[in-house]
Amino acid sequence: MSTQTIEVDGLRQRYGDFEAVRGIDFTVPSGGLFALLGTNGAGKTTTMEVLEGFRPAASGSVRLLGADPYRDRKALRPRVGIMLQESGLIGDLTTAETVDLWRDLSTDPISRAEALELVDLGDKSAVQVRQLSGGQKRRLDLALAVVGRPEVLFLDEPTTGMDPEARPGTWKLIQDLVAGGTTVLLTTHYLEEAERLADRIAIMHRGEIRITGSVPDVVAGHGDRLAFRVPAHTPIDMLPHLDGRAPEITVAEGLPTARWTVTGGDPDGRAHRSVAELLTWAAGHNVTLDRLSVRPASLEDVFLSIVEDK
Amino acid sequence: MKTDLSHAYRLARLDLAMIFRNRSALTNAVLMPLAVCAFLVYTAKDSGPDQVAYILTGQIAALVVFAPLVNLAGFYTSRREELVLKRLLGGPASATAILGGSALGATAVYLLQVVAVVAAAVALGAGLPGNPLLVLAVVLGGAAVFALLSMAISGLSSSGELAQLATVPVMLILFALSPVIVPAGALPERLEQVAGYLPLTPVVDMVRAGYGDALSWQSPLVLAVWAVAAAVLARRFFRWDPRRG
Repeated sequence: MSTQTIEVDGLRQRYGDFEAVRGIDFTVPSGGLFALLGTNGAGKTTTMEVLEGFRPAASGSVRLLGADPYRDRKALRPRVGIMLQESGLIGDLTTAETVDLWRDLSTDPISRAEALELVDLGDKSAVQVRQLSGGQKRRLDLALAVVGRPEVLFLDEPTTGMDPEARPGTWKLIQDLVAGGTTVLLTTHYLEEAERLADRIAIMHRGEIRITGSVPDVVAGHGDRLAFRVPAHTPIDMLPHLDGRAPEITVAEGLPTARWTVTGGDPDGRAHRSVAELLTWAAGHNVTLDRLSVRPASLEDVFLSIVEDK
Repeated sequence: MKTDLSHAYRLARLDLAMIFRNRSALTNAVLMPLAVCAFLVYTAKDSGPDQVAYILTGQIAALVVFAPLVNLAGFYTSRREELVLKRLLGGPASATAILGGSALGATAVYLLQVVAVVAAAVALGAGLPGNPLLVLAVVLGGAAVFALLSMAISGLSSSGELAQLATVPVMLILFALSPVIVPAGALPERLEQVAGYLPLTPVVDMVRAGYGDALSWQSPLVLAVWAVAAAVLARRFFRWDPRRG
């Protein structure tokens, strides 16, 4: 018997002539948190909707808790919590009535008070849903997703639209659920969110998974970043090539910044070697290395290099 | 584990609460159809008790066009466009329970209106139906057919208002040709034949059979064929995702 709660093997999905998902594979073990990252149109939501049982897989195989999420939806439904990308809540109901409705539909729900406290809406129970802010509606939606004590939780951009101060509370709730054994699949635009929460991530682009693994695994092999602010009157064309590459130039506050990605050589020595080359060049040309920075690649660097097709 | 029936019952309760909480929904879904009925009875009053009874029994059937068709088509559509249906589908309830729950709510409104008209019929001397079970069965069967048709119309409409607008010609044709107000014999022969196959006609005929008229074998057959056709149309055209964007 498989220990994977979610298994996706060769999933393809098409809307007319447009192939939204082009043969992706990934698995999520029980109690794991897997994040799907990507720009709009990358295929994240389509993948989620297949796993949530909203549509059948056009080709490939998808298993959720060992069952087909579309064909076996009836059996899976009580075991799964879903938070969609956009909330569709009944505006005339109060927050409490909305939670009560979901509780009445669930087999073994948590209490209304507990559900509202989890998302910090305890003081909004008598407020009509239409009067909640966008972020509060997202939090209510999250409460509905967890009210039935799901074994698997699908969160499609859960913190989009939330106030920045509400995000840490939501992250804490998700971490607590995972610690309690819930398996979570989430999509997000926020790389910080994925870095904080996910055991493993996958970056999707144009319907394909371009890279997957733990965050350290994903950023490994993407080199180091060197940058400094180029002083005025220093010709750009005299800047050195590092690791065989010319610098990328960006301009901020009227001054150019030169950036290099160094990937050659062994991972332990390449930044040292490039920094030494840069220092030698600067000393030889009497150039001040203003705001010199050296750092390993971040998830954002990897993400941008993928979505910009570099 | 909760069943589809318990989910549908809970969702029907929700819809009824929404209707009775919202004054305009209460007026449109419950009071307006009864006002139309009262007006028709009033105009028939001078033509004698038989005509009053004819109108009243016709209205028991005709009211099926309001809550289970006009209101429900608008309701499904606006909830779909507001993503409420999809949100519900992402919860513990099945598609059957979600759609059935709203249909059950609309049927409850229709039943309430039927009870009001039956009470009016008693008060105006038309009496109680001789076969109340037949009346109840045809009221429920008619509600099911029209609820399924409302799903098909909803799937073709991009807003609740447009869905309700789309039901208006359907309603006018049904009221003009089915023997709700005008007896079938008053229509030209060709139109009378067409009217016999409309979904409201068997509902009207069987309600009147419940009040003592002869029951034609054709009526349950036509209603059953409509039930199958409406189910096929609902399956073909109903959609969960919004039409916008």
